[in-house]
Amino acid sequence: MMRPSLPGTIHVVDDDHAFRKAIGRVLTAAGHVPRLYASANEFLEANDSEGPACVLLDLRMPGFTGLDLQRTLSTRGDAHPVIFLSAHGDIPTTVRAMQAGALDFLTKPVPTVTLLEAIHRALVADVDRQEHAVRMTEIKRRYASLTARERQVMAGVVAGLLNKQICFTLQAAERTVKTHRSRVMEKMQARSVAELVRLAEELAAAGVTLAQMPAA
Amino acid sequence: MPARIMAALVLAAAAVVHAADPPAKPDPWRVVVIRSWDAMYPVNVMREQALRTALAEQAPRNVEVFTEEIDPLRFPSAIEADLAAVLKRKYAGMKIDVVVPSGLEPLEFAQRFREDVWPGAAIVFNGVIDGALEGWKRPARTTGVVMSLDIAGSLNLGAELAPNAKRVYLISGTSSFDHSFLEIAVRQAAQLKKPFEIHFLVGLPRQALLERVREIPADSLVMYLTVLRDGAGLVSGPNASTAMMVAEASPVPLLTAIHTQFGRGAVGGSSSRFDLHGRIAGQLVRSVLEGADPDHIPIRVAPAPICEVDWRGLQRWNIPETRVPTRCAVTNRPLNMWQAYFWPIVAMIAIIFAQAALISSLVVQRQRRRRAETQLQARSAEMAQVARMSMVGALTASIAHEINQPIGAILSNAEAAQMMLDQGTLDSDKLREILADIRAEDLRASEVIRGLRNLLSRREWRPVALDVNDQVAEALRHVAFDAARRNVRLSPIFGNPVPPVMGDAVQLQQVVINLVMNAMDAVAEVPEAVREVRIETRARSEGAEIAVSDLGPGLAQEDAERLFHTAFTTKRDGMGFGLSIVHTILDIHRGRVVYEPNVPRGAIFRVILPPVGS
Repeated sequence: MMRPSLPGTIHVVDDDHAFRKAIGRVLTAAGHVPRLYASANEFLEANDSEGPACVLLDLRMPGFTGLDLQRTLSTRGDAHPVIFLSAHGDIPTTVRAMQAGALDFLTKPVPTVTLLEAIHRALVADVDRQEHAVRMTEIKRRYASLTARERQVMAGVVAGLLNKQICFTLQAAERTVKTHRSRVMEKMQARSVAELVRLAEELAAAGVTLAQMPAA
Repeated sequence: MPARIMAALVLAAAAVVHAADPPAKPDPWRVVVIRSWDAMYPVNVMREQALRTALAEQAPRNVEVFTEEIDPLRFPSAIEADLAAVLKRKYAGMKIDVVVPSGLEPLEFAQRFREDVWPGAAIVFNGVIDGALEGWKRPARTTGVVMSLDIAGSLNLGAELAPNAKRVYLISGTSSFDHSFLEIAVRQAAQLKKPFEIHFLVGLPRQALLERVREIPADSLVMYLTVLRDGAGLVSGPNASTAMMVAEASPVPLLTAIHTQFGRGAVGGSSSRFDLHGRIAGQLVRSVLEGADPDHIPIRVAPAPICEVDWRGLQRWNIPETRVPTRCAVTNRPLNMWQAYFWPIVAMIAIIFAQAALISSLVVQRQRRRRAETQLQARSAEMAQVARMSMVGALTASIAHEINQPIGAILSNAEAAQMMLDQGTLDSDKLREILADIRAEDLRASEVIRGLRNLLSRREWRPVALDVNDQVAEALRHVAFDAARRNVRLSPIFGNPVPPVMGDAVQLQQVVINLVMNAMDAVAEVPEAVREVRIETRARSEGAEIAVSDLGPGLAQEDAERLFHTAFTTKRDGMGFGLSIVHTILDIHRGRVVYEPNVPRGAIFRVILPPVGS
């Protein structure tokens, strides 16, 4: 592996100086940019979230443990994928790490090939995560540009209602509803009803509260 | 008390004494003892001493004793009347109660002159030989005790000691006393069932006597009677050596019937003891003094003769001891070891036994202790092994971490070098740096393994002097990772100086590890601020102390009592070996562990170890 297909910044958090240094060498040789931290706090203070990146985390460090750090990162929302590296992985800890969103769980000593594959997966995921985040920001911006009436009309369209049904529910003229509907499709940049439905679903998944049709 | 009152009291007491009539003081009893010959003849000495002792023994009155001596051996009997006249003047005006003649001649003297010299006195005689009074008429107010001369018994003994003897040679002197003895002897000898052929060696000067004695034929016996005066008219006096010289000269056994001669060369004989005779006489005098009527006291023979054999005589004449009849006592036998040293020997044996008992009990104790120690050590080794194995679980994370950390670093370094090599970016400086790191990590890994092997291997008990602080530090190193993982602060406080202790390093570390692990379990649930285990070392009067304390929940009273029992545990997943192992290990180290509640809560375990050389 001469050049990684996807080079990135790798945050290495490990209290063992020798190990940190060795991993740093491997990552550098693999074309990544390693950032080395002796403790979780040191890493959190650096607050370097330029992507693509991932975190190589020793699960069992004295003080602030790997799991603690992972929890902190995931609450920040902009977390890079975390790969756990541990000298000793017992099953309960592994399960908890994975539930908390760890991408990979590697056991020391870890062969470089395995490590770099895990890092590649993590960087790809990070890129995806970042792209998704960008797209969600865009969709949210579009939805935010809708008027209240338009959001109600959009809710009716997404719910699969006919124009007449929407007119009846909203007590509006059919012509007015048609105008709202075309404005919604335009603002949301949806080329079809099916695409509008998918956007609505993405918004809901991202935690955005969508407007509802008033009760008939 | 003032002196005046004191004086008054003394005067009053004196007045009382004077006012009472003085009690009538009884007259003393007065006794005149008449002996014949020299007072220093052993016969006289023994008999008179015993007599006077018996006389005075617990007497209700004072007994005044006067002694008079007649000496028919050396003075003519004609002077006796003059002597009596002198005595009459001597005792005039003095009331004599009893006259005690000792011997035939004094008896005759007393009989003749009593009424004249000691009017009213009773006669109680002694020392007269049985048979000498034949035909004698007992005077009024006269009694006495007669002594036996057991010639027959002595000759019988001789017949038994020398079964082949046919003859007996009788030795006697020339005095009337000698003659009276000889007469009795001949009379008795003639009455024997198997009479001997009697020969006389009588009235010879001493030298001639000895020469004749030497020529006595083998199938004979010699009976030495008395030689108060020999054929040359010589009176040899008390303790004369004639009897001994005869014994020395005689080729055949010499017999005697006189007790005082016994032990002076004769092989033995049957005789009466003069002291007993004197004592009986004394008692008799006392009873007369106390009012007994002498005329009603029968004259008896006392004491009975006893047969005695001198062991030295048996040797002298080659007589086997088996011939000594059972009625005879053998005296002067050199005491054998037992007789001579019975008590010392008993004491020695007792001491030897006591020592043996002591030694064997000590040996047994030692063996028991050794066995117990061996068992204890074996048990401890087993327990320790169990503990180590159970500890493996607890330490697995630490072990894996400590080993895998350097191994991981080595692997990464090697692969990084490989990658750089492939890329052509590996210069020799970088390579040297990587190799140095690999080497350092390799050493670190092997150090970890060595430490683990020490901790986990079953080894022999090999006590050495140990620095307590070093051992505690080493033990803490083993648990440091686990403590960090569990977010427990370990706070060691090392005392200085702490006396070194004798023990096994691994076992001592194990004690500390077990106590610290327990403490860490205890603080697992407490707030982070107090999640701390304090390990303190210090010197104590009894040696060194290691105290492990925590601020956990502590122990209930009843739990504290069962604390060190094997398999006692308050932990849900504990095996209950930890403290029991601590206890066992400390047993071997002659140390102890005590629990006490911590303040304000929690537990303190104090390990106390004796110092080296205690």
